Amino acid sequence: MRHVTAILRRDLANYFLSPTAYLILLAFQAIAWLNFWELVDILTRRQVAFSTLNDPMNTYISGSFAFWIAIMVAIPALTMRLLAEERRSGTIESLLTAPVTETEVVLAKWLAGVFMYLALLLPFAIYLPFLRNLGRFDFELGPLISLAIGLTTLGMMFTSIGVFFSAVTKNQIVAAVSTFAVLFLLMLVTMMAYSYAAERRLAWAEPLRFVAVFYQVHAFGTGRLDPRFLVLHLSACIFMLYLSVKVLESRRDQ
Amino acid sequence: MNFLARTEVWIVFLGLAAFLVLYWVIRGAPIGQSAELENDDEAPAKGYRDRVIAGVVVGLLLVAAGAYAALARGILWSLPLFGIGFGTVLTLVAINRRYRHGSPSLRRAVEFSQSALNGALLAGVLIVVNVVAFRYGGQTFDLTRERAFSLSSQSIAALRSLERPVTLTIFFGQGASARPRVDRVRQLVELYHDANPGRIEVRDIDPFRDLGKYEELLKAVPEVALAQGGGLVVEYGEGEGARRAVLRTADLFELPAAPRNEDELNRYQTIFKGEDAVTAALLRLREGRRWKVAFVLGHGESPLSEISPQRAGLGLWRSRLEAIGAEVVEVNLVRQDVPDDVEIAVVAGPRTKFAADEAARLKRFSDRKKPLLVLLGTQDDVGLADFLKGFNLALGKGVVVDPRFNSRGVISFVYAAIESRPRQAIALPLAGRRVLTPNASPITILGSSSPGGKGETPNPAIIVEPVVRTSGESWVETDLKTPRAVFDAGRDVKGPAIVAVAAYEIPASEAGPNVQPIPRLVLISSSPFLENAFLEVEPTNLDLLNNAVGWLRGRPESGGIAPKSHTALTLSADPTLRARLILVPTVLSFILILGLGATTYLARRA
Repeated sequence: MRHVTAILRRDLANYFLSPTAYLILLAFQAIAWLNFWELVDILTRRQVAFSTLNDPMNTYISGSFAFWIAIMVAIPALTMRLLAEERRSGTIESLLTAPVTETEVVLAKWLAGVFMYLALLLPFAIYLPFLRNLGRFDFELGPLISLAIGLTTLGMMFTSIGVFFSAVTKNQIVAAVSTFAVLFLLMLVTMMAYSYAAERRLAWAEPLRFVAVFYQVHAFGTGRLDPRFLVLHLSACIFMLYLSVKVLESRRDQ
Repeated sequence: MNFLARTEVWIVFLGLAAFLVLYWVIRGAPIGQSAELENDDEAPAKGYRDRVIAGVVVGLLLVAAGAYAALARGILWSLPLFGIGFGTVLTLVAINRRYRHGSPSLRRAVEFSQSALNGALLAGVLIVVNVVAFRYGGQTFDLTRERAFSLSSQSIAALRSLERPVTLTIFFGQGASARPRVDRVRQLVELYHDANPGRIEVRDIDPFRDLGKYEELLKAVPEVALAQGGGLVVEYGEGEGARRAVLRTADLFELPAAPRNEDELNRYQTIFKGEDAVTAALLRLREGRRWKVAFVLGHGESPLSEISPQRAGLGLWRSRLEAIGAEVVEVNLVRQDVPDDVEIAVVAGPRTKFAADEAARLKRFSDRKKPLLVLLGTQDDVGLADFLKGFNLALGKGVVVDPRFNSRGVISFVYAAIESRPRQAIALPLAGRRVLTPNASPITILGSSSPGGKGETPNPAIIVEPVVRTSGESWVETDLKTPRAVFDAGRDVKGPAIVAVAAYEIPASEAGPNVQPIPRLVLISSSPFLENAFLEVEPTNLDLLNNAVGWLRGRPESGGIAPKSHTALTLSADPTLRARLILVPTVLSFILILGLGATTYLARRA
């Protein structure tokens, strides 16, 4: 595993030394700005909620439609080049002929993707100290910690899906579109299917709700840190990384 | 049509399709077309290769079928399929590994099947981990301040002891605030369902959409019609024998008074008593009958019928007792004994002396091993000193005062802490919280090291444990005539002082580690402790009283559950502050990103 750090460093350098990183960060900053503006607007109206469930802070980030769309676009954009670009340019050959294993390559690429994803969340976090200190607004920290943990494990899962599709094809567009399709399925299709099933009180409504990412993140946002969701995210992540390693191994044999 | 509607038909179709695709992928050509030529001397015959590939594909599909059987029918059904599937593939892989150099198609089959089996094993392990997490890891980490996603130990104990199915039916109400209230109630009942999914069923009825179901509910529980703001029906049992209770959402929430200043305008504090009400209703319905609590009256006690916090009365606690299934009766010891069917007798702050006869009647009740809750705090003798002595207890002289923990600057209205590491169930759910003990006297435990306790010979069968103590800054003021109390080291006794205790009996004949102690007495040395006015100011007093009653009855789970308080905050920001709040971090962030980007660009260009 000693080569992981070297590959990770190289990938992060590639990312942060390119203008793409700053453009994506600027886009996320703009979304965070609008999101926070909306939050301040809601918070200044008189609050008469009966429990933490209806606290507007719970829907900061997790309830933002723009945030989810941005994530569904940004993660494929970040991960599509991780392995597909190496294959397209042929650098994967030199990488795999070096004394590194496929597992090390996949882990390093995945970690690079996760770090990039976490960097995208920073613009949302930057407003909170200002709200607490400048606005003297004593919001609850617990739900935000829970949300941060949930978004991190979710990002790990999403990135592993991106890494897998990046390993499968050398065409970056195909990798990005495939990743987007799966994220779309996990995010919106499960949510819509749950709404449909719940409205008709179908038996599979509850299992659907459990796998619907939107509801998982909503639960995290309300301060309910459910270890089952964390296990689910990490399991999916491990499985996708395993498949990515196997795909790379089969490529090496070819 | 019926044929196609069967799941098995679709599974067979899917299996066939999967077989054809996998066979094609591994063989390199579909059925009916010739595969690539393998001229190597080591390569086996074409027919043999095709049979091996078909066998590997069948084995892999049997593994997949095993996974389906495990999900649909159970683990046992899946074992033969897994056994045959894994066995076939592993055998074929072992036999044909020797052809991997001579036959590309068999090499592909071996590698593919090895990867598939490893993947299946990993998936199996991950599925097992998820199933275990789902089954045993249902306990969520509740990171909210109000503990919105947690149930108290009393509720969990009550839910585990359910013997019959329970249906919790939520019905919506009208009005702007009805919906968020119902949402809160729904979230609560989901916690009940999660705690015992086998016994608790949750139903939602929207009176404006589910008209038929609402009519049925009205027919079964006519009181629902009175709950205009929505509510919850707790149904214990099923069918004709079911017992039901209606809880109105309006009764489950305490709303704040109209705001008096800007600070109150920005803090909307509500109290949710839902868990207490639902658990109490469940316990009441489970017991089926009402249990009797007798208030010993006739010595100047406040009236039980008065519920206004502005007037002296004990009505608030009385109604709370009735809500958890008690039948409250009054007993005058001058005229009668405490009836046999009374479970607990309450001495609720007498102001005049008990006659010897009355004290003897009280003792007779206690000698029948019936428990008592006694609230005494007066400095005058009420004639119960000997009675208390039988429980190794005595009330000290003076009033406990505390210059720091008091109510509104009245130093004799002391906020005293419930033991933080209690041993009995009275204090356990409330550990560390404070109760308001107005004009309390210090309690002396005879035979203990507490002040005044040494030198007395205690009753060895009775064990006394402190439940509530005042702070270390308190003291027992003995000079009650001085308008401004000051600690006098010569006369006053330094705190902390014990102001509530629980006494239980260890039967001498049953000594041993598993002996069950018999709850005998709870003494609170503050007469007004249970007055409406103080219960209104400090609801923890009510919780402690309920817990005391639950413990005395031998049903600690029926004690009060602390309500959950939520404060909805409004951001107080004028337009300038709002602009600063939004713009300062945004501009800083944009400058930082652009600065980093520009620096990187320039550095790379250089």
